Amino acid sequence: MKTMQFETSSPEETKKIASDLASTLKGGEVIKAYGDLGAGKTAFCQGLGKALGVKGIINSPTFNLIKVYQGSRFTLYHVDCYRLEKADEERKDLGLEEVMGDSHYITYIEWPMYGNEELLNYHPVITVKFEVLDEERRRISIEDERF
Amino acid sequence: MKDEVILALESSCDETAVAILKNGTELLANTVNTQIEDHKRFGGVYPELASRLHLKNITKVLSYALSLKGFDYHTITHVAVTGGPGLPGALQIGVMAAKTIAQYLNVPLISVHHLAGHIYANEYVTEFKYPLIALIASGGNSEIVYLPSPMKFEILGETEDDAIGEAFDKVARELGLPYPGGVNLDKISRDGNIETFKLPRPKVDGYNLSYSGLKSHLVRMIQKEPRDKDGNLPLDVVKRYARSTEVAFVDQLLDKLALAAKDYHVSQVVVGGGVSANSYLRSHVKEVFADTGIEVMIPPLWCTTDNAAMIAKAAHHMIEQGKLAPLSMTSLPNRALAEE
Repeated sequence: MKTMQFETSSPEETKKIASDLASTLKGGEVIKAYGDLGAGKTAFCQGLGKALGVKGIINSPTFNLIKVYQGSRFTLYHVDCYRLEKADEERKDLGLEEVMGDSHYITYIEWPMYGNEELLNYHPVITVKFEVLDEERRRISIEDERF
Repeated sequence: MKDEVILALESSCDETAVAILKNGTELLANTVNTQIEDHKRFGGVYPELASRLHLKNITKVLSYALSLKGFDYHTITHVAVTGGPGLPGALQIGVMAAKTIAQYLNVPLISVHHLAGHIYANEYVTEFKYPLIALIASGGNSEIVYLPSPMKFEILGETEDDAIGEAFDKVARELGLPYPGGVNLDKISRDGNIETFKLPRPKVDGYNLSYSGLKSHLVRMIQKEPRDKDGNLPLDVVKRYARSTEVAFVDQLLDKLALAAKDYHVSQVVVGGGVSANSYLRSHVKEVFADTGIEVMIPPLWCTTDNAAMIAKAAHHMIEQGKLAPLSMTSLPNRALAEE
């Protein structure tokens, strides 16, 4: 496993790190994003999407649970389990089994700890953790199980 | 001339709905079966469960609408259906049912954009005067849309991060308010004497909106507030936060809306979506447009929730423009309004 750590002082810097990660993706990767509200999880996905060639705005998927974007090489699944915290297994089923690991897709999951068993136990994953240091600064740790 | 009779189906989210519209104005049936009770306990809609419930409900809702006294289903001239955006599995149920009926009756099919429906729902209560601007504000949408002529849409602004309703829900949750957060935040802040505090104004280009930065700022502020021994915030603190949040969020929306309305020289502004039920927005939007000569239309509450009457209304305009769909159509979960 490869571990990296960064400190950023703006959403733009956070997006740059996402863009660097995007350049290593080969299709089928599952990225899990952990961090408090406003820590930069969606900003990271915006950087990722832009680097993958997604046109237009990537915004929060909390309401829809899943938003799908077409990139130049892959389809990006932006998933948010925030609303699933108190849901039962049946409701937690987002039908991602056909997406995760498929080389046509990149799956980016926010609040993965509220997902179903299948999602929790899925490997290999790239784990991105966001820590709020102050109003502007964030610590971003990436644990990459591909290596 | 032969009567135009549209049978419309809507199943994009958590309502299974069927409506029958005659000649564009006469609403013969408008049936909605909601799943809200099935989803409420867990604070939102769940895609797989929603699809199963649609499958269970669609024939019931259809037969109820078609059992209308004195109505002969052979008089149906068009079948309309919500073709997106929405939950993939949920959309699929309505589309399959619509295709089956259209094929059986040998009548044309119309695939309607869900948000076009929300905008045109207002036509049941007001006559549209073009060009106009529509604001759609809900849990999943915050969009400012320009309509130069019927069924032509240009997205002027949208949220760059969180939708307004979603940001409301998240702040409400941080304040310890129960689901649905945005509604409860509104209720608790209705008392007019609450003192508000100033919040930063996000700098966003053009007519776009942003709620993520404000939301994060508020969450950090709330986390620093002193709490009682049970971990609760004092009621007056909760009220001040609720009111200040409401003012900051809605003002941002209305500032952009007013700017767009002025720049595009429209004579009418139409509001839609769940957040249009917010009391501060309802009372304040009239003030913002007072003395501008721009007419503001706030919908009655039934227009703000999903229904098939709005889909039929939009379909009526699409028929006028010859926008029919082939039987091979598929639903598009991410269908873009600007490409209509």
